[in-house]
Amino acid sequence: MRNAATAHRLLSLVSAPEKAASIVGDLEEEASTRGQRWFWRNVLHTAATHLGRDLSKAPLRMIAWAFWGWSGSWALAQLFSLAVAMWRSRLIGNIPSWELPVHAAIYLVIAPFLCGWDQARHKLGKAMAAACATVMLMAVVQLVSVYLSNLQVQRIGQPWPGMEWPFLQTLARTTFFLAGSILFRMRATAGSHAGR
Amino acid sequence: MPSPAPLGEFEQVVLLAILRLDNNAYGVTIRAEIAACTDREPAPGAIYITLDRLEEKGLVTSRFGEPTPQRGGRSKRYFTVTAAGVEAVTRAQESYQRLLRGLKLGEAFNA
Repeated sequence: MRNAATAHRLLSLVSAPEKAASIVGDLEEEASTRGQRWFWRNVLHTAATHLGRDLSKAPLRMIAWAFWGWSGSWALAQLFSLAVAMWRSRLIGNIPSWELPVHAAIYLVIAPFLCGWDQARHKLGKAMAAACATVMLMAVVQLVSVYLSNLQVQRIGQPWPGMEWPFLQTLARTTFFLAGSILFRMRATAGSHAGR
Repeated sequence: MPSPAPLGEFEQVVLLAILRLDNNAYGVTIRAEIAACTDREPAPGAIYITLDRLEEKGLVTSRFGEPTPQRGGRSKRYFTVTAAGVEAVTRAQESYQRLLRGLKLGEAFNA
């Protein structure tokens, strides 16, 4: 069975909800003779085409939004971490065992999620394209930083620590950034899904 | 008066399909008309992107019809070519005709 409501939610991420509804209606109409696979292939293709158009339409603006999202996420993480460190040093003094997980949660989950949410709030029409551009920039920045740290490690003759941790870090940050943007966008378009 | 925006080949195909369909031009029928007339089946995603672009250029307008139960209560988005759209596609086709004038394409194919 086709789940048209899911298709509508997916397409509403990258286009206006009423346009998404008419596209899903068109695809459903044709899919009655072509089948479920055709329906989902074209839902995904249409969503990807809309996303590609938004990304390529104003590339400089997208790069600016990506820098905004990336630097915002980084600055927010630093701010939260600083606040936690100050609060801890005032109340406890010594570094407790819970501090590292708290910093990791701030850096990997909370800051990216809040920034993804905030970016979608400001770039409502192109929220997904802006989020994808930011995620790509985060990945590039992480790659460059891994490359630079690799050079440094080689210079001081230490063994290469491996790619697993930077990869997991990037995966977590990009996932929670995207989750923030997607959840805001879904919440913003929720009214148009009601009653469907 | 400013000259109309230049049209890509697929934009012309979509505009002509809408003109042929008159008042019944929406995603499904536009795609079917293009397939019937050109023997190629464009992806739905390509059609919707092109329609949005043509609307941004002011060459087509769209309106939503009444929701129908056959489509799960989802309405059709009907398209109409504007006067600027008619002018743009006419100019583009005239350019093709001028380019073709004097060419003996049949002979080239037979050679």
